[in-house]
Amino acid sequence: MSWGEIAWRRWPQLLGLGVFVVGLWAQGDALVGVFYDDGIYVVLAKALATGEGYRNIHLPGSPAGVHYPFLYPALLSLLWRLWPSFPANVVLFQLLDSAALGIAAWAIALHGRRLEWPAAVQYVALPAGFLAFPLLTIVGVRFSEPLFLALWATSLLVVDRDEVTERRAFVAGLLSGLATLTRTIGVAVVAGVVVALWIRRRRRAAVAAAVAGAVVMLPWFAWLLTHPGAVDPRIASNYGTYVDAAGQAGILGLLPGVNVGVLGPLARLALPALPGALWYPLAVLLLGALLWGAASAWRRVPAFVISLVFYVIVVALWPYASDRFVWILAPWAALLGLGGGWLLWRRGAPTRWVVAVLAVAVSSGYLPREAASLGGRGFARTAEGISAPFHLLLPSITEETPPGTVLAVSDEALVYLYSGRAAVPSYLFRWQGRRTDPLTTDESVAYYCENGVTHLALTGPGAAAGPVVRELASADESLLEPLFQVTSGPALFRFSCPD
Amino acid sequence: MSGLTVRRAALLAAAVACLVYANAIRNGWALDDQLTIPENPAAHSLTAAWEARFSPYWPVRDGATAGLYRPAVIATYALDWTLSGGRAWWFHLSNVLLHALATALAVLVAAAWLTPVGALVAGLVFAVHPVHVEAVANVAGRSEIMAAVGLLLGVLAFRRYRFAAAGRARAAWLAATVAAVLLALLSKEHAVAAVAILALDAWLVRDPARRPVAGPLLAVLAVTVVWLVVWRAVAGGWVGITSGAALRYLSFGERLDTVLPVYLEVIRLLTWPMKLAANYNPQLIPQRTEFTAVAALGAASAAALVALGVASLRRAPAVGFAILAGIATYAPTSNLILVSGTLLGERTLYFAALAPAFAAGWIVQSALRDSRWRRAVLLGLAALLVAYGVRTWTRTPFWRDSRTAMIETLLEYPQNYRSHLQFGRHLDLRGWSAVALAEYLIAGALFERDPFVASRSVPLALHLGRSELAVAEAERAWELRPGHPAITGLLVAALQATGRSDSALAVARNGIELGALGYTPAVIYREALRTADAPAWQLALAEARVSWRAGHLAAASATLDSAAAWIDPQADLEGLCWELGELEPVLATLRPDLPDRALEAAGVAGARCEGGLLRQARGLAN
Repeated sequence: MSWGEIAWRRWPQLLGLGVFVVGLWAQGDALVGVFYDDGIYVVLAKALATGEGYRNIHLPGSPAGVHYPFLYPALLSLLWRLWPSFPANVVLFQLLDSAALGIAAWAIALHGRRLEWPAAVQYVALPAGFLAFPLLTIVGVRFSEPLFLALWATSLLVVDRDEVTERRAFVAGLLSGLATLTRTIGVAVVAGVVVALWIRRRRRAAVAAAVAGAVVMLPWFAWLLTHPGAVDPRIASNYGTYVDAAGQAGILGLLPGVNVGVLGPLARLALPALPGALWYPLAVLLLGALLWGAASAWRRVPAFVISLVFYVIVVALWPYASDRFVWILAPWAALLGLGGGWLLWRRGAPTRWVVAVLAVAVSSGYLPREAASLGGRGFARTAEGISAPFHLLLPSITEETPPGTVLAVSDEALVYLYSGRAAVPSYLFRWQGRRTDPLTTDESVAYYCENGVTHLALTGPGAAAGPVVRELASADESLLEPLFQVTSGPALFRFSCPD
Repeated sequence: MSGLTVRRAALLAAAVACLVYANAIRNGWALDDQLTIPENPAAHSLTAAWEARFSPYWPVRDGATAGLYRPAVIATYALDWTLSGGRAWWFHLSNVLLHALATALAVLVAAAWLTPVGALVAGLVFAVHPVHVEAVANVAGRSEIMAAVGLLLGVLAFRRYRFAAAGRARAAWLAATVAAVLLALLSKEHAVAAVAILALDAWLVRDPARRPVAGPLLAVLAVTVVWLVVWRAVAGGWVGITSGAALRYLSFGERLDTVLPVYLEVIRLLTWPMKLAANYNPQLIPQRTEFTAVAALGAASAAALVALGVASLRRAPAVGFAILAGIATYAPTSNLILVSGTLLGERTLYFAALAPAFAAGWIVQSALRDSRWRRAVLLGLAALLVAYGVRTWTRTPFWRDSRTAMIETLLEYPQNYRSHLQFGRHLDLRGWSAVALAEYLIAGALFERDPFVASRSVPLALHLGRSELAVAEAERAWELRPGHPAITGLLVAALQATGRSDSALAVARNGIELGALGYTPAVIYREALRTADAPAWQLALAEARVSWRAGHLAAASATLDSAAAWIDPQADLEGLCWELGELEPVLATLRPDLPDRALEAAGVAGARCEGGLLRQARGLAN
């Protein structure tokens, strides 16, 4: 066996281990909860681990968790039980996320062999995709995306085969169902697996996959049905179900504004910053290469292509989709883009020019951007920057406020985790079509008072709740007593409800 | 020796291992045992050990721990304690049995390359090797034995995996390999070399079918990475540059100057370990800051050993394996790349002792084939085993208890400063303060580069009313580590005891200037101000600094407001400027207007402080 053959044989394991190690390297010093969702995942995990149920125990009244499906918090809760000391146990969460990304890399590399493209395509595309700095940012905080990607990729590994038995289809359905229990958007994966089998005229297998997926998802939907109205409507935008969000936005808020630039974040990562007249044609060419790769992959890996298309459609339709929904596609996008480019290159002279231009553009866009981010650990800077004011706030909150304190603050889950104080969101808003509207100061104060808020913290003068604080301070001095105010930084106030 | 099988050789060697350490059962708790077992609640029940599964190996004392992470060792202590009710002899029995197990496993590992006789010789030499006494006869040395057991089990399980037919047996042996490596990793840090040792063994003991081993090795590597991450989180990082007294504050080059000669000592200990020591602190091994001939010799010997290991791989794979695996396990504590807490510890050579043992086995095996050398080699072997065995037997009582170990060390190596420090502590705890102080002073005189001797001598000197001596000791320490919070506190206390409160205040200020953002210097300074009867505004500013450094911003804000209200025209302007200058980050953050308000209250409105000095505004009289 030649060295090349040995390398290709071991490639999935080597990539998986390498991505696992890179995932660990990407862990920064940021506090848990800086990106909001990450804090809530960990609070839910703590609630499960300490026997309090699937509840937002940082909020007064501990309302049931109905926003995030429970698989990821449940896994974190097992680790929490193993090492019940926060924040020391965060290292186990970091290991879980890094391992999940490593498994995703292993599965994607193994699955990618079915495409029968040259090994070099994988050798270049997958490291480039997994080293994409937004993906490192994601794995560096406690997001469910790495686990979701691992489950998605392994379900495809099981189902995208020449021969699919009902048993295999059932396993693929289970895995895609687990992906849905990790992120609700996993329904796109279940649908992709089922539809692909149906199109391949594997009807019994398709039914097996659908049944397995449904069985796995059932407990979550049962939980949602048994907890209607669990969350105060004033915080439903962050804590309510997706039905609550859609209800607030109105159905018309969803459909008219399909996001055609859904893959824009990936193009912005790959291409250099150029004037629009140059950038857009390049982006279209890049999309073309990617679509070409996807079209040629269709015959070999139909479940992958269909689930990817469904996923992108959901992200494009959903008005509140964050960019990170797209970032996790970076490895596949790199694989399809490079594979498509290689296929176009093989077609001869006319398309070779296009591929060459794209290669130059991507090299001059992606590589310097990555070098700058990886060299200076730029991918971790945002999270660490958001942590900075909390490093000033938390010791005071922990030691200078009484135990029964309820705080209104941004990143309330973070404050609860590190200080043990109950906390509510200081900035309240509702969905309105494809945008958000803040609640009025009176509505916010009413919410604070109903929830027993005793203190209010700001992370800085530009904090979202700043206008509310300023309005309160100017209206009645007795409502807010400043305990400290850092110049151009965070502030802590004692809050009293109006008589 | 017809009829000798590998299994019998292993049992025989294990029996000799038990025999040669039979007198260890009479030992009690000595030195590190005390802290890690009788004084460690985690070692007293299996429940407590489970609850402490993510706690550092060294228990927390006075809010600090020396770190490390070895939960498997703590678990065995807890098991022993549960079974024996905390009787020391039981723990020693466990250690001896573990050593016997390690010896048997060494024979089994060697048997891949040596005949049963050769493997038996290797096992016998390993069993009686005197360098093991510290690991076997002192309970705290168990981590070394357990790590060796885990590594050797891992090698054997990995061989079974590689030679097993495909299927469940293969998967089970892979799981056993990973479990053994995990046991080693959770026992002692040098098991980090496991993947290299397994790879080396796989290369030397090849599967005839040449099935690939990269996958399982990657799995072992992944487990090692996971362990490393958890270890770092629990232990709080690698042992710092300041922990080993002999290497403290040395540059990389100076560190090499001290460390390279140690490798000669390592080779001596592995080959002729008749002279043993419980610790190798200065000046038993001198601290050197220049490249000497002995350092060059140490480097050359280390290189030669590596070369010998590599060269032996083909002709004498047992020797090559043992040398290279020994080097791999010694490397983490070699102070070459990372600085460990000790300059040299005999216990750290436990696994490395496979090298002389396997070499002896190979030499005897080769000699037995040649009738000319047979008698001489067998006589030589017998002499070696007797010499090693006698030395092991006579050395074991050294570890009877802490007092014996301390006094023996002091008598054997009076030049070892740490022995005097430990002995002084021993005397101090028993109320013999004056003699204890004398021991501390001797320690300081023997090795002048350890400023923390003062943390023992200064409080005791003050207790005995020897204030001037305390000042002299504290000043010596300050010269070595100016601004270190603990030493600043000692010097301030000593100066105050002599009535020099102005000098004490100056040192406390110096501590603030040098101590950056530390909390302790702020507390020392506040206390020095209180002793010096400083005005209320100055005390309030000092209090604000303490609150700020504790992270209590609300208290700091409130105290700053009080300070501003108490400043009056009688305020010492130079002192005020110094305070405002040193508080600049606090003031800029919480009360940026306070300097102007303060100077106005002091009667110098319009002036400003620069570099701690008052600058009058233009037009105002000086």
